[in-house]
Amino acid sequence: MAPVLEIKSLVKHFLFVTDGVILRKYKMLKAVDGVSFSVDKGACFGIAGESGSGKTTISRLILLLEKITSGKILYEGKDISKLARKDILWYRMRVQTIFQDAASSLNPRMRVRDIVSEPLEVQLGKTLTKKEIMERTEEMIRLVGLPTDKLANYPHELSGGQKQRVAIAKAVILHPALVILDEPVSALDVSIRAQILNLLSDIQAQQDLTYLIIAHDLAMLQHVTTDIGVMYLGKIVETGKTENVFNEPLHPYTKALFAAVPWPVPGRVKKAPSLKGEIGNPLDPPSGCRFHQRCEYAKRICREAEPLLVETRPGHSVACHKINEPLWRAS
Amino acid sequence: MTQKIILAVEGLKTYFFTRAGVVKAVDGVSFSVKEGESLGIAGESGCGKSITCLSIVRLVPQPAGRIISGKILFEGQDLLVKKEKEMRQWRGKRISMILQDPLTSLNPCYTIENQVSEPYKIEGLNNGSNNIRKKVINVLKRVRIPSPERRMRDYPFQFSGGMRQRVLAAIAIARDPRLLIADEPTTSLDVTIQDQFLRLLKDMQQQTNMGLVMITHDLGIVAETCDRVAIMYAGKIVERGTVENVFLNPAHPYTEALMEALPKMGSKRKRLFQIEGEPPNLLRLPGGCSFWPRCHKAMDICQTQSPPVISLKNGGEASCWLLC
Amino acid sequence: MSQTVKTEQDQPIGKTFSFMFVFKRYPIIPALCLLPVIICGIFGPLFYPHDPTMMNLGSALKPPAFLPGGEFSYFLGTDHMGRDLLSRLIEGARISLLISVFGVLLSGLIGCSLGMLAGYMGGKADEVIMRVVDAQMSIPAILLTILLAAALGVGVTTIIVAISVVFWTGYARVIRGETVSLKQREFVVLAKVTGCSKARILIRHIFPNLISTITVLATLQLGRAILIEASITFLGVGLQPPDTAWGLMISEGRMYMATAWWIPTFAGLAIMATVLGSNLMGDWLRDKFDPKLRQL
Repeated sequence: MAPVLEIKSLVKHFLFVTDGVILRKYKMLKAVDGVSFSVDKGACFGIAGESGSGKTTISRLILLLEKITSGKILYEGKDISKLARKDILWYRMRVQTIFQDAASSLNPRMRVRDIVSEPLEVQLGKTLTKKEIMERTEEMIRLVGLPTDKLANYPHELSGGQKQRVAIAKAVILHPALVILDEPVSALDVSIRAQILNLLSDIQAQQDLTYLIIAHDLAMLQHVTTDIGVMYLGKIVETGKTENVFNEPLHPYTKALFAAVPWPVPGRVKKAPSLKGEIGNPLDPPSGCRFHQRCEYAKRICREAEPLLVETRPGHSVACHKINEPLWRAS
Repeated sequence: MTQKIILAVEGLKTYFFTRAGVVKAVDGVSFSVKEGESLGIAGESGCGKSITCLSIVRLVPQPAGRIISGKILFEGQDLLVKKEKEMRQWRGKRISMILQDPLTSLNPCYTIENQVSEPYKIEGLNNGSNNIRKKVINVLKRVRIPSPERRMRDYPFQFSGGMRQRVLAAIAIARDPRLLIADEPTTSLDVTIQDQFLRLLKDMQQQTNMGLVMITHDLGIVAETCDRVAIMYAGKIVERGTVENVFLNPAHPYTEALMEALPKMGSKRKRLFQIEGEPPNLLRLPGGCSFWPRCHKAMDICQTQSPPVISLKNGGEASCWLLC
Repeated sequence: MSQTVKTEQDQPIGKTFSFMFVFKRYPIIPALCLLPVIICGIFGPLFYPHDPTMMNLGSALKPPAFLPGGEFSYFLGTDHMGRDLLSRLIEGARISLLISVFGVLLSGLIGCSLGMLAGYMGGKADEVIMRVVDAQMSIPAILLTILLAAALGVGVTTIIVAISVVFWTGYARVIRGETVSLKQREFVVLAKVTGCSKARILIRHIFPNLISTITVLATLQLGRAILIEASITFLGVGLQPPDTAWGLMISEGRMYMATAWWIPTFAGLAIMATVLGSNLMGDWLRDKFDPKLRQL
C-alpha cells in the first residue's frame, strides 16, 4: 500500500539562549534529529517515548506548526514545506489532530455546536448551506456517542470523556485522511479510556482513517497500533510491526522500557534491574549512541559512533551496535 | 508471624458542604494497614481516594469539608479526637505523605538542604548544623540521590522530576514515620523513572518496616507494589482483599470490569471491554448501589437498596447484592 | 449514630455562611456607590429640585438643610451664586459619566485592538507597539492629559480624546499578555490546524476569552477616568464655568472653604464614592471571573 505520510531524515533544532547579556551564547536543542518513518494508508502508527524524546515535536512539524530545520515530510508524495497557500488550506482539511487535554482544546466560550461545526464552516462554508452544516454536525455528534441535546452546552458543562468525544467529532468532521492523536486517553480514567479507544478504532474502520498515535502508555500502544517507533532523545531507536517489536524487543532501551511498565498482574517478578539514570540533556546529548550512558552493554564503539537504523529482519529495524555491528563484539 | 496493625480506619465519612449540596466524598470507608504492609487504594478520579488520605492526617480542606463520623485508629489512638496541636506533632513524625506533584511540593526559593533539614529542625535538633547536615546527607543517600554532599546545595529547579520526587521522599522519611501515605507519587514521572521510584519506595519500606498506603489510579502500580488493595467507587470501598484475590478473582462487577477494560501488556490486539457511562456526580448519586447504572449485572434490588459488605471466603470483602 | 451527628452539624453551616455569601455573590456595596450616579446621569433632568445653572444671589451660600439657617428646598445648600448644590451634583454626574464612559470605551477599543495585535503577531509589530506603550507610560498621566487638553482646546470631546490617549496603554499591556498566553492554548492551535484565518482566530477564539478581563479593566479604569476628568477641570484646562462638573464645583468652592465648606465637600464626596464604587465593582468582577474561584 502507498504510504500516506513519509518522513525522511527529519531534523528540528531549536535555538536557545543559554548565557550572556550582551554577547549572547546560543545552544542547539536537537528535539528531533534525523527521524525517518512512513505511515501506510489505514495503518495505526504509534510513537512511543518518554518526555523529552521529541515525539510531540514531530507531531507539531507534521501539523505545520513549526518550521522544519532539514529533512522532508511527504504527504501523499507532496513535500508539505513547499505547499502553496491554497494547498495548505487543503492539507489542513486532510490532516487533523486530537490533543491530550480535551478541556483546553475546546474553546470555553463556544457552544459544542459551534466547536464541532467550525471546521466545516472554515473549509466548506461557501459550498454548504447552514442547514447542511447543522445536519452534518448532528450526525457527527451522534457518531461519537453523544446525545444531540449536548450541542447547546458549553465545554465546562461536559465530563472529561464527553469533552474528548467532542474533540474527536471536531477532528473527523471533515473526513480527513490522517489524524494525529497526541496522548489521546492519558488524561482519562480507566473506564472512560476503554470507551474512547474503542470509539477511535470504530471511527477508523468506518471512515478509512490513518492514525498516528503519540503516547507513553505502552500497553495502550500495543493494543491499538499496527506499527510502532520507539524514540529516545530525538531519534528512533527501534521501529517495526507492533507484534514484532513487542514480542521480541531488540534494543536495550526498548527492553528496559517494556520491563518498566507496571503490569496489572499480581506476582509478576521483575527480572531486569531498573534502568539507571535519566534521559540525557537534549541541549548536550551524549556522543555516539545517545543511550550509551544508561546501557548495560555499552562498549567503546557505542560512545564513539552513532548507530544507524538497520532492518534486522523484515518489518523490524533497530539502531544498536550490539545488534547490528560485528565491531561491538570485537571491541 | 502476626504483624501489628498500625492504622485502622472504621466507618470514615467525610462530607463537603457546598452551596450546591452535600458531597459525600468519603462515605463509610473501613480498612487497616499492618506494619510493613502496603495497601493500595485504587479508583477513578473523584472516587474519594485522596480525600480518604487527607482525612487520615486531618487535612481535609476547610471549611467546606468535614469529617462527619468514623474512627481513625493510629497505633490504637483515635486521631479524630486529638487536638490540632497534638495532631501537628504526629504529622511528619508518625505519619508522612508524598504528594503527586514534585514541582509544586518544593519551595523554589530554598536549597534542597534547607528543605530536607526542616523536619530535623522541627524535631528540635540543635542548630549545631554539622549534626543536621550529616543527617541530611544520610537521608539523601537513603533515597539514592547521587553525590548528596554537592547536590544538596542546589535549588529545586536544578533537579529533574524524578530527583525532586526523591527529595520529597527524603523529607517524608526523615523522621522515620510508621506510616507513609503516597498519593499518586509517580503520575508525573516517565515509566523508567517511575520504575526506579517504586523500587526505592519498596526498599525503604522493607528497611524500616513502615506501613505504606499507596493511592493510585494505575492498577499496574498496585499489582507491583502492594500486598492488599481496596477498590473505591463513588466514596465507598466496593472491594478489598489481597492483590492476588482481587486481581485474579474479582468479586465485585466493577472490579471485574476494570480488569477487563485495561489494555494489558502481552495481550493481543482486540476490542476492549468497556464500562458504559461515566462515574456518577457525587451530588446526585443514584439510589441503591452507586454502580448499578453502569453495571452489566444489575438487578432490581441494586436500584433501591445499597448492598451490605459481604465477607468473602478468601478473606476479602466486597459489597454487592450478587454475593448475598 | 452517624445520622444524628450529621443532622446537628448540617444546619448551622447554611446559616452562618448565608450572610457572607450575599456580599460575595452580589456586589451590594459597589452597587450602592454607583447606582445613584448612573441614575442621576441618565435621568437627572427629570428630578432636579432646581435648574442647576439658575443663579439667585439672594439665596447665595445657604448651608445644607440639616444645619441652622438651612432651607429644606436647598437640601445640600447653595453656592456663592445661589445655585442649588444638589441639582448641580446631579447635573455633574451626567457629565462625569458621559466623559468617563466614552473615554473608557474609546481607550478600550484602541488598547484592546493594539494589544491583541501585538500579542498575536509578535515580532516587529509587538516590539513597536509595546515600546510606544512603555514610552507613554513613563509620562505622568495627568501631565499628558493637561498637555493634550491644552493643545486640542477645551470641551467635552477634547477630554474624551485626551483620556483615551492616556488610558489605552493600560489595556494594551494587559490584553497583550493575555493574548500571548491564549495563543498557546490548545484550542487556538487546533483552530490553526483546522485552517482558520488569523482574523477568525482573533475574533472567534481569542476575543471572547478576553471579554471578562476587558470588563474588569474597564470598570477599574472608569474610576480613574472620573478622577482625571475632575483633576484637569479643577486645574482649569478641562470643562469651563457655564458647564457643571464636579471638578469645577471643587475649584469654584475652594475659595469659600472657610465659610461654606459644603460647596467643595459634597462634590468631593461624590467623586470619592464613584471612584470607590467602580474600584470595588472591578475587584468583585475579577473575583467573579476568576476560574479558580468560580468552581467553588
